[in-house]
This record gives sequence, structure tokens and C-alpha cells, in this order.
Amino acid sequence: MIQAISRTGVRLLLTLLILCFATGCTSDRERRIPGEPTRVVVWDFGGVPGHQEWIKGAVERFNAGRDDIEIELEIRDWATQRESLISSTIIGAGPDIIRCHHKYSVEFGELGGLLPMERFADWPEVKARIFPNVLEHVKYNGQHYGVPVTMLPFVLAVNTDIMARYDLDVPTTWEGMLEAGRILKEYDLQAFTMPAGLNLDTAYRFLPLLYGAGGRVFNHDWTQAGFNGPAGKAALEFLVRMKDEGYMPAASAAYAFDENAAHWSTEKAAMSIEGPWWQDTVLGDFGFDTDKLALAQVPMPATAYEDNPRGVLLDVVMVAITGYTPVAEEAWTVLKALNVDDPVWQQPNPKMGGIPTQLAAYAPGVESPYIDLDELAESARRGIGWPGHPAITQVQRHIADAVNLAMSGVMTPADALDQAAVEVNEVLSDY
Amino acid sequence: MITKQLQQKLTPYYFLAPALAVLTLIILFPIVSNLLMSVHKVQLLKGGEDEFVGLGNYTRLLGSSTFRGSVSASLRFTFLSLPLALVLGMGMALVFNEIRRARPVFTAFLLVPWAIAPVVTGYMWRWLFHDSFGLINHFLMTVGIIDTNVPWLAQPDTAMAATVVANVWRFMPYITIMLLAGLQGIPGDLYEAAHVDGANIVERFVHVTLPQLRHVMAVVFLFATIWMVNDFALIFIMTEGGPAKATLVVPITVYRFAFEHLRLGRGAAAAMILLVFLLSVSAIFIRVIFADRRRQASE
Repeated sequence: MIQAISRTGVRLLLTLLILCFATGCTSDRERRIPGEPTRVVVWDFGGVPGHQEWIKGAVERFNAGRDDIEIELEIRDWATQRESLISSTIIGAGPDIIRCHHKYSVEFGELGGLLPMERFADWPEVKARIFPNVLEHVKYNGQHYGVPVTMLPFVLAVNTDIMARYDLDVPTTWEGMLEAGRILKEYDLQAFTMPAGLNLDTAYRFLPLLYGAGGRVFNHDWTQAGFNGPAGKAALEFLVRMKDEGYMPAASAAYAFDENAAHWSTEKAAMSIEGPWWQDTVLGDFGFDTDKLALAQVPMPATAYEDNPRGVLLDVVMVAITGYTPVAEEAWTVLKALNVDDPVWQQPNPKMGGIPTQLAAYAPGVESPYIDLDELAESARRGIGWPGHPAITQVQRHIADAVNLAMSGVMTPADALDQAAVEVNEVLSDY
Repeated sequence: MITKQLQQKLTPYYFLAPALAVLTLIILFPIVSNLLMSVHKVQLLKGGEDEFVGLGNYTRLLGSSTFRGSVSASLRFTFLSLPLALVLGMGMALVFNEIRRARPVFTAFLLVPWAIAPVVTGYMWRWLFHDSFGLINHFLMTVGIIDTNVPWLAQPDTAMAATVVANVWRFMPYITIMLLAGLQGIPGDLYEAAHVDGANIVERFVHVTLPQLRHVMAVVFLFATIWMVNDFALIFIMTEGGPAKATLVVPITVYRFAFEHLRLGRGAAAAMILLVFLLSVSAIFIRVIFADRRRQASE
């Protein structure tokens, strides 16, 4: 009885929350009004300005060309997607289509908050147009819970002017990074910078190093943390050494994305682990001369510390249909028109914030203003995502905490990772 | 049949009922709901039954070094900020009390930090304390106090100090305004009498101003304690609780438990501990504030 009251209370509060969030009701009655086009509500989380400009235009074109379906677009802050998904999934009301991070395919696919693509007859044709390894990122229990649209492989962003000035090659190994650091320090420059504050950006920069050393986030059956193995400890020790030797900013333990971008763009450091968004960020936000920007593979240690295949982190943005939509078929039509058939997905464009997932975008003859697109595509081909675990956001937070603790000098890398592993094991025991 | 006498007795309650209903809905219900959540392992998303865990969430919290650390961070943040803000606010109030011309203009300027949204304040101080672009390092370097940039927000001790500075900057106007109002309510003949008795400026402050302001100061202290212990936005924007969890205050821990980790039961337990602490502090202050009134009444 008491428990029921408590649950009712929580649900009541969340209902109020979703009423604030939602732009309209998802009932079939309000989506399909006789004599009017069927309304399809799209929540577009995040997106760089170029993406937002494109989607507004694409929606306008779609609405102008159809009288049976009308898209209602809402652009939302990237940082609010999980809260929005949680509340809308609990209430079973909200948008029909969402653009969000691929990791939610598992968390909300499992809960019924997203619709498996397999229910649509022409899904195999759509699937065939996309990089096969990227499709794995949205797959859970044999079903795909979204269409991957944008790939965000993590690469090394290099200031070629600094490297050329001091006659340095772009390092491919950790040992090479340390050597570049030693040389650049003599000229009062830093070889490397990254966000290492208490935020998720930190976990996203640590993971490419972990994967490069042969490590993994979990053990083979996902029952225990794996990031505190030899590869993880070596990766964090490498970062701490870079900082302690003065090859990284002393304040990196307080940096989030913005501080790091400012540091790199003002040419205080030569390299940073970033992705396809970097070109547009440093040009648009800092006026950086992108002729001096090159992308390269993230350095790895000369020898692997664990036996897993080495790779680099690949993040994916997907577009999915919610599990509670009353207009699934119309939503699928909209999803395909905007996110599969639109020509923007066949031509890589830095203003879109990431590179397309469609194979056609990399066909011979396709021209793109992307710097080092081949490096990005190569990283994407051998990219490894975050494990598709429902609790991955919590795991990311614990990894970020561990990196920050070690980079602040409060704990040793091994102790910080072991402590985080205890927390993660407790999380995993719930599943 | 309700007698006239009974009806008369009930009448006040009819008038109170709407207010009680509103208070029940917006205060009592959430607190009770939170209390119930704190003794359960809540399965909000999975659709399963919540598991009753008794005091399990509380014992796990109290055994958690992260939570104990966050309690310590909250206390340090509050009790470093409060005395500084009170002393500076008192100083400002005394100065403003002496201003005879254009006081409203100065007061309007004074209110600017208090009027700015905490999120904006957080961003502003985060960049002021930035190691290589921040004005604070630039200024200290220019006047020769430091010769290399200090990573203020990347070291546990300096990060806490930085958040305290930002918090004092934000709270000082409120404290100044409250104390200024108190100062203006002190009868001038008390100062004249003290002057006639030969009291100097310090003695007048200690024996006239401070006793006359004690109620205002107690209220300011109470409100400021509650607001500072509950502060989320300023610290979250400046440091997100880092570095090394040095500024991970209880409200950020509650947020992390409840909304990042979806451990709603544990988040609710942390919030209940915070509530009990603040209620205890409030009870003590209210006792202090009303002690002499009760004494006067009994005399």
C-alpha cells in the first residue's frame, strides 16, 4: 500500500515533468485528426549549428511536399536526452522520433521505450546502406533500435604548424608522445591536452587509450569491470606521467570540453584526442586556421597490454522511433525521408558535426570539405563503441571519476581505477 | 446534527483547510514520498516491484566514503563562505548606512551579483579562475604575486577556495541589504546616549549595533546556511564536484545518485539526511531567535 503510494507519487511528479517537456500529446486521437495531416513529433537532441540549420530546412521541405504527414520538430539540448527519455518512457508519452546517442538503444530498447527497426518491412534495404560495424552499436538482443546516422570516431587532432616548427613527426605510439612532449616542453609548449575534469568528456578521452592498449570496459561476459586491468592502468599511468612531466596542462584535471578546445586552439598544445566535430569547433568558436589542422590515428603503446583486438573509440548518433508512438508507420516514413534518403547523408560535411554512416558517402568521386576524411573513415571502420550495457552512463561516470582522481594527484592510477571498478561491479550486479 | 458550539469550534479549521491542503500537496506529500522512496530499492524504469530495504540505503550511504566526503565538502563550503560573507556584508552595510546621497543607486549596483542567475555566476567565475585565460592569474602575475599560472580549479584545496570566493561574491549583497535594513531600524537616540556616556565608535558598534542586529543576523545566518548547504548550480557549473571530488557537495551527490545512476532510493536517503540536518540547524536558530522573546514574555 505504502509502496504503491510512493510509486504513484513518483509517477505523478514525473507526469508533471513530462507535461513540461512534451510539446504535444501522443494519443492517436491527437496525432490523427480527420481532414488534417498526421502529426509526427521529432525531438532532435543536440546537433551543431550546421545540423540544426539542415534539419529545419529538411522539415520545411518535407512539410511543403506532403499533405498526409506533418512533422513537428523540436530541437533540444544534447545534455537533456537521458532525463527526457526516462520521463517519456515512464509515462509512455512524448515524441515519435528521437535523435540521440546510440547507447540509449540498449537502455531504452530493453525497457520498451524504443521500437525495433525489424518491424518495418524495408529495414533490410536501409540496413544494407550502412557500415556494418556501426549497426552493431544500435543492436541489442538481436534487434536494432535505431538507424545510425552519424559516426564520431576519436582521432588525434594535430597542430601541424607546431609539429613542423620543431621538426616533429606525428607520434603513433605513447613513447612517441612522451618524446614529443619532452621536446616541446623546451619551447614552453605542451604536446597534448585533454579534458580530465569530473565530466563525461574525460571518460571519452580515456577510452581510446584503453582500447589502443588492448583493454576493455568489462570482462568477457560483462559481469565485472575490465577497465582496471593492465591496459587501463597503463593508459592512466601514461596520462598521469604526461601531466607530471609538464607535457599536458597542469589544470587539465579541471578541464571540460570548452577549456580544452580553448587551450588547443590558442596553440598552447599540439595534440588532443577529438573527432569529426573538431574542425568546425575550432574554426567556428576560435577562428583557428584549419590549414594547420591534421587528423591522425590515436597513438597506442608499442606493445599491447591485453589480448583484445586494439582499436579506437567510435561514438554513434542514431535516430530512433519511440516504443509508444501511435503513428509508427508515418514515423518510419519521416525517419527515412530525413535521415536515410536526404542527400546530406551521402556527402560528408563538417558542418554536420560527424561523418555519415552510409557507405555511399565514401564512394569514389564523392567530394568533401572534411580535413583528413580518410583518417576519420579508417578510424570509424575499426572503431569500437562503448559496450551496449543499460547502465553504461553510470559506468562512464565512474571511469571519469577515476581518471580525475589520478590526474588530480589524489590517488595512484591503479588505486583510482580499482576503486571505480568496485563501484562498477556493484552496478553490474544489479543486471 | 452539529451543534452550534461545535460548529464554532470547527470554523477556524475550515479557514485553515485550503492552506493545509496546499501545504500537504506541495510540502508534506513530496517529503513523505521521498521518505518512502529512501527505504526502497526503486525500480522506476524496469516496471518491477520496488524492494523494501529498510535502512539499507542509509547504512550504505553512511558507509560510503563518497557520501561522507560530500558531507564534509558541504560543511566546508558553507562554513567557510558564511563567516566571510557575514563579515564583508556587515562592513558593506556599515558603509552604505553612512551614505546619505544616491543610496538607491549604490544599492541597485550592489544587488547585481545577487540578481545574476547562479549558472551565469558559475560560468563567469569558472573562466575568471581559468589557469591560462583567467583574469585572476593575469592580475596576480601583473602585480608580481605569482610567477606561474595557478591551476585554481584543478587542485582540491584551491578549487574549494575558488567556489567559496564565488559564493561569497554572490551572497554578500543579500547579507548587506538585510543588515542595512536592520541598521536603519536602530533608534538614533541609542547612539546618542552611548555617545553621551563616552562610548567610542568600536564600543558603540559592540554595545549598540551588534545587540540590536542580533535577530536580523540570526535570520540571515539561518537563510544563508540553508541556501549554501543546498547550493547546486554554482558548484556544478564551476567544478562539477571536482577535482578529485573535493567540491562534490551533497546536492551534487544526490543528483548523481538519483538522475545519473538512477539509484533513486539512495538519492532520496541522501536528500533525507540533508533535510534532517537543515531542520536541526533551523530549530537551533529559531530557538536562539525567539529565546529572549519568550524570556520577555515570561517576565
